[in-house]
Amino acid sequence: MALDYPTIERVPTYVESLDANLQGGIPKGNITLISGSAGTMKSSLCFNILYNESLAGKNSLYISLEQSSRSLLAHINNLGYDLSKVNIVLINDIAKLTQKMSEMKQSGNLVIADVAAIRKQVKGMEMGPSADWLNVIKNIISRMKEANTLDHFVLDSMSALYVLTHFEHPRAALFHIFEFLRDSGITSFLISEMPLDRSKYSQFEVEDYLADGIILLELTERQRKVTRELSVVKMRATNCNNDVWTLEFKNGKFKVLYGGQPPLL
Amino acid sequence: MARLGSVLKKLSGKKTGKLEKRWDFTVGEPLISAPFVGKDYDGNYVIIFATTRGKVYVLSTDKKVRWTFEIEETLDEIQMLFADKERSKTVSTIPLFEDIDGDQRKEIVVGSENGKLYVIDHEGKLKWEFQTKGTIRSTPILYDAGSPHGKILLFGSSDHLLYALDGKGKNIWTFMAESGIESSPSVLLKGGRDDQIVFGDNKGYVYGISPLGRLLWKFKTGGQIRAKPIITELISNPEHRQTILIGSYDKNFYALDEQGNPIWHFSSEGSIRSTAAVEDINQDGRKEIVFGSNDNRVYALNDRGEKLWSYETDFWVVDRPLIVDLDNDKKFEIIVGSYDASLYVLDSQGEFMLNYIPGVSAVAMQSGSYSDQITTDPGHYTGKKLWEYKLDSLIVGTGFEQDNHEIVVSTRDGKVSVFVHRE
Repeated sequence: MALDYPTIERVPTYVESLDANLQGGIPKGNITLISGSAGTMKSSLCFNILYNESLAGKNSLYISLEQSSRSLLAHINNLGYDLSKVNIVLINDIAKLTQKMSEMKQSGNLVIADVAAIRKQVKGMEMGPSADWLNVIKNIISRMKEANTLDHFVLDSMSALYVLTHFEHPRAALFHIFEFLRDSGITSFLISEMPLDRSKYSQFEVEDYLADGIILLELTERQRKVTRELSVVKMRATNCNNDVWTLEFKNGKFKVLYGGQPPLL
Repeated sequence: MARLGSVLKKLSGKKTGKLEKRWDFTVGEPLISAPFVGKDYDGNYVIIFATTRGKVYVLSTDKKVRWTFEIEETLDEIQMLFADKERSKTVSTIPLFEDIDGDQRKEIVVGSENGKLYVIDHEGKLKWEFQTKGTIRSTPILYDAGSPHGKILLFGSSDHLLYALDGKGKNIWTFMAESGIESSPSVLLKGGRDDQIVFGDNKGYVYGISPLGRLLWKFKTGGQIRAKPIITELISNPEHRQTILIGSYDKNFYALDEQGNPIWHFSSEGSIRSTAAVEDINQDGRKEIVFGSNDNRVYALNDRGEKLWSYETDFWVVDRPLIVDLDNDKKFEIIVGSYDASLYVLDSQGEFMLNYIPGVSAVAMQSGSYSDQITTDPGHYTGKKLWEYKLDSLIVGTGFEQDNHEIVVSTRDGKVSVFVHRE
């Protein structure tokens, strides 16, 4: 009897030419590590996906552990995204979490959880021994799923999570984070700060093989010109080109150029 | 014909019969700790176990629920957001069933992921609770420290502290370890002030501390320690010097003297989480040591740390092996559960490999794991499986009811099952 292969639904990255390379996008439900050093537009690339998916009626959650929602929105607005077109729900007060959940529309919500603000709110409060920021992330995801559907999730960033949460057994803890995200069925993007020496994609390296995909963003200096570059290091269930692409961002839109237009040497 | 075969087998000294399941009790939530099996004050056996959602069950051996106790937590919205709802009430300690306060009734003591130690009375009511600043995975023990405190509870927490509490829940002293403590303590009894409390921590240290909580010695292994140390007079000696036996995540099993100096170590190929069992299993007048390893094997060592035999299962052996006479033949059997979801009963003496390499058909005819059979040098002993019972989920712990020779098994999928040996 022939096996019935499931068709793979894909989430577009809304990066011109990249989606064609990814057979239409990232497989739905995959966990993708967006890795790169500072200034490589990791957060912007992720926000670009959530923004465009919200316009398409999907519900998304962006958890910012370090950058305040105010700073993030100012940055996004400056990049040219029309924020009035999507239903942005800001969570920066835990006490109003239930109320904020009720503000969500049926579809097209882009929820931004400002954990930096929540951190200030709970500073000095006595919590139980099992209390940690990882639970906050998991509980916000669960609450959002209970209140509505949740299609996509961005964690900005894994590096900040490691600073906030002490993992006695990091490999086991990370295994459980990935297991939780995979079981929840949402398409997840985990932003990972890459060390300057580019020695690894993620802090504990176990994230690399737990993730279904790795998109690497880099800044390449040639003489005095700096070029942004993108490569798909791995993407499960996708036949893609793993070469390095030049990444460009103009007028609120990303695009990649195969082979790029390298500056004249 | 089959009956005749059984009689002939028995006459020839071969083991007969099979394991038979008496009953299953479905909890409906995962279990991650072993059951306690022991006698109540009324002389009847009880089975006590606790669940990942914080429910403690007391069953009689005929499956009747005597009572249950449920851990309750009152959290506000902010605390709720920070709590791990799946795990905050999880009990991963084996229930302690002892009269901790001298009221002639046995209490049940369990620790939880929320950092609290709960003491429950004989009717299932909370007597008192004690909050630590970490999670409690170290099974508490009761130790008679003599005057002035009498019996004290000893347990560790992930807040790096080993706690000593009196029967009313008053903290008498704490000892700060180098890291979190998940290993249950044991006591090296020398008499009063010379006693030692021995335990391991997550950084791999084994500690010997005085009954007042002062460090006497510590020994560093290369990995986390989650097993409980076993303390025994391993080799009979006039001074009754005892040996501390403990496995580490560095894959080694250690024998330490009373000052924490290594006597010998045995290297397995996997992390060792299983607590050891000690008995003269082959009736040679000396004690042997049996433990499981995450290299999927059960090992039997002699008192010099040399392997007598090993038996390979299909996954990790985390359970503490039980050494009992299951079938009343005056010989010990080894009972152990594996993460491969099988309950094994092994021959305590293993099986002697013939001094020639058997053909494939001969290997297939022998009991035990084929890989063990093939890789064991001829002329040596290897593990021998007597009986196996396949369950639906990985086995997290076993207990034994001595009077009726019943094996009690907890599985990850939330079942407690009772097995007996039948001819």
